[in-house]
Amino acid sequence: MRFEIDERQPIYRQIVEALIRQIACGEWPPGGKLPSIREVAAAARVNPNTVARAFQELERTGLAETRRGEGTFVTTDTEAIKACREKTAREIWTDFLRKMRELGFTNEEVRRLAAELKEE
Amino acid sequence: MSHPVVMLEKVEKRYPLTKALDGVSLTIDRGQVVGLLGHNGSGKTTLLKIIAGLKNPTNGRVRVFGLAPGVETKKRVAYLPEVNTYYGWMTVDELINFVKAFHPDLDLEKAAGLKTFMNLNGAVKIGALSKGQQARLKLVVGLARQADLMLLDEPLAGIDPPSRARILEALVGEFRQEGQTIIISTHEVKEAEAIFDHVVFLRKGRIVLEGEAETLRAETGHSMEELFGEVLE
Amino acid sequence: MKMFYALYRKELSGARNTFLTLLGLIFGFDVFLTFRIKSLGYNLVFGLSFLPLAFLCFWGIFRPLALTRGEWKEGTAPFLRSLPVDGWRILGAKLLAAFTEWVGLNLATFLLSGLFYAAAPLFGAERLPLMKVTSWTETLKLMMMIGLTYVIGILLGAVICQLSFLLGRLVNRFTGLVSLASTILLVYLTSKGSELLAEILTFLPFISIEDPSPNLDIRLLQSASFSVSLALLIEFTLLFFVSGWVMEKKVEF
Repeated sequence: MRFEIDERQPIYRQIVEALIRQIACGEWPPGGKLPSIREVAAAARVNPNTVARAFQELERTGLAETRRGEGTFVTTDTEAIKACREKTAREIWTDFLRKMRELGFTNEEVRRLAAELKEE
Repeated sequence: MSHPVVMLEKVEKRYPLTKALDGVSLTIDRGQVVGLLGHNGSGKTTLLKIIAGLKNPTNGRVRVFGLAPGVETKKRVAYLPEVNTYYGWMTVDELINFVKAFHPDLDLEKAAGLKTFMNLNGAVKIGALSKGQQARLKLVVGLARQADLMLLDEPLAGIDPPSRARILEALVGEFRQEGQTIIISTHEVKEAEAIFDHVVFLRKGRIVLEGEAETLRAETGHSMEELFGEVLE
Repeated sequence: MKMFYALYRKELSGARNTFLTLLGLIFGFDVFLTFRIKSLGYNLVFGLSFLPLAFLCFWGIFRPLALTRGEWKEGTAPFLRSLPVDGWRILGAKLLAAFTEWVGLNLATFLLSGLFYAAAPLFGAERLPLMKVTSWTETLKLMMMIGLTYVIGILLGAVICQLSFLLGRLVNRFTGLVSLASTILLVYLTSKGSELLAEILTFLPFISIEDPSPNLDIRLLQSASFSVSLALLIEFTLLFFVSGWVMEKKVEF
């Protein structure tokens, strides 16, 4: 369990994103128990209140649910996880495309570049 | 009605030649970890001492749990000053037992767990501990209690990096009591900034900026360390 | 009460090394004297064995001050003050611990002198004759009276020193000067006060002590009179409360 934190951005959002990424790539399997707030706080050396807020956000995405007195669990809904994985991929892709446009690349050029880079 | 943990209204502390605090108003709610940030001589220590009941303000009103600082508030406060203030001739265990006589809320089992976590030997005399060990000892004594308010003055200053890491981990990990309010003064923001809910920037006895750390990050795109450099120059 | 006891025990443990050193010194002094019996003579040595009492008179006055001052010197004052106890208990525990130590050292001195007295035949000397007394109970009363006045006097001196030190802590500069001035002023005030109080208190019924021995000076009786002890006790109580208040409300850490 590792968290790279950039203190210039709200920390809770980075924790949410990190957890989503970890769930998406299967580090926390469907239906499995997530580490406790305290554990995440200690590992990331981050305020537990911040982590609690991140967990709330995470629940709102539907990827995890908190059972009273038991802890927080990854959803068993593998479709939702898959969807989330795709959504994250889309976000990365969109962000990538936006940056490419800023550099003045057209879709055609991007496609050509992708093919070229694949061959390397 | 529940009172804020700490309430300061226009608090001033004057000395013959200087003004340590110049009209500080501040409210701290339950369960927050507050970073009191400022350079040396900005009034952080004075402010903590006033809250702890070790100094009296020249002017203004101070309320801790709705009460004027005194014996009653001290029962619920753990004040951990920057320098070692424990008796050098006591051993670590003797100190824990001594504190227990004044604070029945001290949990001996938890103290034992903390000693292990902080890698301290109970039979060693405090005077023989290194600076880092003494800093860790303070945290053992402070966290073993169920104190509602913990005041930490420069817990990281001048100690070795492994000790710093241990201290920060203890402050956010399993040892911290639910709902405990912590005020931490420091001028070394980088390592500690992720553990703050709320930050208060103090400069020459005045608050120059105050707010939720996450909100300030979102609004300014700066880390607390960068803000520290910006607002306190 | 539990907190006071914890403070008291802390003071005793903290003072243990000093106490043991002094005890060793007194013992060593007496051992030294035994080796000097031949050259100095038994009577002189027996008299000299009481010498530590003169030193202890000062020790009793300054020891509580040293214990209080030590908290600042060692940098432990902020910790002490962060404990949920009031100033009276902190100072009281110091007074009581210093007093316990003082009583112990006095008893040790007396005990060793007693040994000298009992062991006279071993050194080939005669035991010194005891004073002829008409009534043992009266003698005992008289000795208690004198002892009590002495003890209260020591305590009063101790509390004056403690208070002067605390008054010195109230200013940021010239701390020592303020303490010194306070000591002089307080000694003056208490001596005037005790004279006055003792006079006022003469109306109280006295424990009458009859002259227990024909060769005792009656003036001793007067100085040990009940009203003086009571006057000193009143002053001690008053100053103790003032110092507790100063500690609680005024001194900063």
